[in-house]
Amino acid sequence: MTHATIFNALEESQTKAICDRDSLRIRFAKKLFPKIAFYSDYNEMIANESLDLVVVATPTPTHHVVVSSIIKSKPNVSLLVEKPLAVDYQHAKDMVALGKKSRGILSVGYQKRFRGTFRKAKELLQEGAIGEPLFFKGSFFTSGLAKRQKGWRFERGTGGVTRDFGPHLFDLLLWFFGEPTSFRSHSFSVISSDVEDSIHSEVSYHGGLRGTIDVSWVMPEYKSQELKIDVEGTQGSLQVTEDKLILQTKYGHNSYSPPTTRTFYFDELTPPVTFLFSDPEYTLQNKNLLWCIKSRNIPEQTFETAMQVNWFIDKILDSALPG
Amino acid sequence: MDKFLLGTNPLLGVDHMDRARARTRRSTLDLQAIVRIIETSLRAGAQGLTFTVGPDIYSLLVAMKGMDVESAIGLYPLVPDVQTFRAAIAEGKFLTLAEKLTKGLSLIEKTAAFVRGGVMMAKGDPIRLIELSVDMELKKLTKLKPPRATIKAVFIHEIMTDMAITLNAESLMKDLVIYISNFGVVPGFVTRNLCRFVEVCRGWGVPIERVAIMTPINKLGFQMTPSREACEVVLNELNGTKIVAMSPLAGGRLGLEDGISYLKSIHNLASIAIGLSSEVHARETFEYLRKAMG
Repeated sequence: MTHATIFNALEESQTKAICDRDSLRIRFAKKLFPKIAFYSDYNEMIANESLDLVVVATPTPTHHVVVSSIIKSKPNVSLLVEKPLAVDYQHAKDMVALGKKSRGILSVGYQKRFRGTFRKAKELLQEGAIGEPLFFKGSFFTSGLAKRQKGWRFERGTGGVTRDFGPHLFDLLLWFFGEPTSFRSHSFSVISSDVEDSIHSEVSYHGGLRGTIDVSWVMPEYKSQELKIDVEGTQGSLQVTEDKLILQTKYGHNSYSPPTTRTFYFDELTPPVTFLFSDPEYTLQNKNLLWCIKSRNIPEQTFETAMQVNWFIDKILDSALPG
Repeated sequence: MDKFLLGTNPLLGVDHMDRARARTRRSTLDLQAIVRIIETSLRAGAQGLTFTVGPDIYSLLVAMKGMDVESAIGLYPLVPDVQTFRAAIAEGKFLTLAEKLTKGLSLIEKTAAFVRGGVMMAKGDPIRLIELSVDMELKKLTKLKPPRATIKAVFIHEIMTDMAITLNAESLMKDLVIYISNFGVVPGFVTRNLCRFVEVCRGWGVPIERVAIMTPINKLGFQMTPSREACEVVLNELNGTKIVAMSPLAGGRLGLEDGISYLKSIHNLASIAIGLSSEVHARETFEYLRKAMG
């Protein structure tokens, strides 16, 4: 409902229809939101409604079949698919191939790229503000899982913390540093029986950059999700989270200048939005996608970049030894 | 409506500006320490508390019963417990939701709620179900609150408010105003989209002069959507509506004097809700507020 709300709030778009397979939710939603058409079958919705954009926020294992069906029946429709694009790299590759048959704009919901702090970090890394990156520590923690649960998120092949929770961090790391050349990982099943609840990975890159990655959904003290990336470079370092970015440069104008530290807060790095619901990056991402559809521009998070995240996930899982 | 409210969310580890700070605070503040901060705030000039309902706040209210404070305390809850609500609805677990909502109530109250809820489910009536959830929260608050505390207003959480005004849930908004008013308290809405809220509610004929609106108001324009200037225009036009300023210090980015001097320029504020994290901070803040705006 987050996307339905935001798209209906933006001037350029209107939420026309929502599909949900739960009949009780449909019954309630129809009464609450009488101006929206509700369906329990997405094929029926796609056939009946004249839509420019469809948001696919279904369970990850269904993305392939839903996207395939939409592209085949309405190739002009643009798509925003929730992350991750697919359950594995092979399915993601198939979806990229499928996407070639679409005339719409295809995007994936890696909205953290629109968070002011991460955007600034990308900019600083690109302009060499900390020199050449030497190593990084990336982590993404939450307390989301308190007891053993059922469903696709907790089944081997479709779930686990690496596939379901890690992708935002992996997308940012790919955006910042590109593809690693080697992975060495350990997985830990703390609560779940069939999937990993925590993952630790060590990665290295051409040129010598190295990094460690930790992702977990069983960290009781992390009531809110916290994503953090610390990067050490030849000329300084940066620490970035959702909330702030701390930039430390070893030298000022020359090697005799003292080190400087500067803190940027997310609100000063985030452009104003016309509608604020949940975090501003959702509105910024959706607004950007509408602009891309209108101007026929390619969004930042395409099926191709999202496929690389699936590659990253598979590499971590393939290299993982039980902890 | 009381003028100076203590926002308890930061004490319970909710911090929209800095998650790491919230986590550190959670690990260092136990329930008794939080109660002492509330006591200090009330002695220094706070007249009420505002909070999002949920298990944490109910534990806190129980702990507050032994508080050494003689003044009356106004309670300004935000309902529903959106986290629980959203998770249950997303997973289609309505029974789990009902169990969570009625936790702590007597067997008779629980049975009555389940029967009422069952009828609403059968009828497919979401508005009555939402109202029932408000009712359950108010019953729990009434049961658990310290004797000197009185519920003065009930605010609909921003997630529900902003979704309702955007997806045209006109009946829900109108019915909630009436339903909450029937408890003898001020019906309120929290919104981070003030301009849209006022425009939409006026269009629907929601009596906004009879409601309270809790919304971010601060010198930095933090969370004032679409802009501080646009919100100021709307704030100046409102007549009779009880405005509660939240995030007056922009999540700690503004100093007390700086933040409060801006609030003085907003002529029709009913209340200021301010969050803090220590006894020293509590004393300084509310003493200053009383002096500057009392």
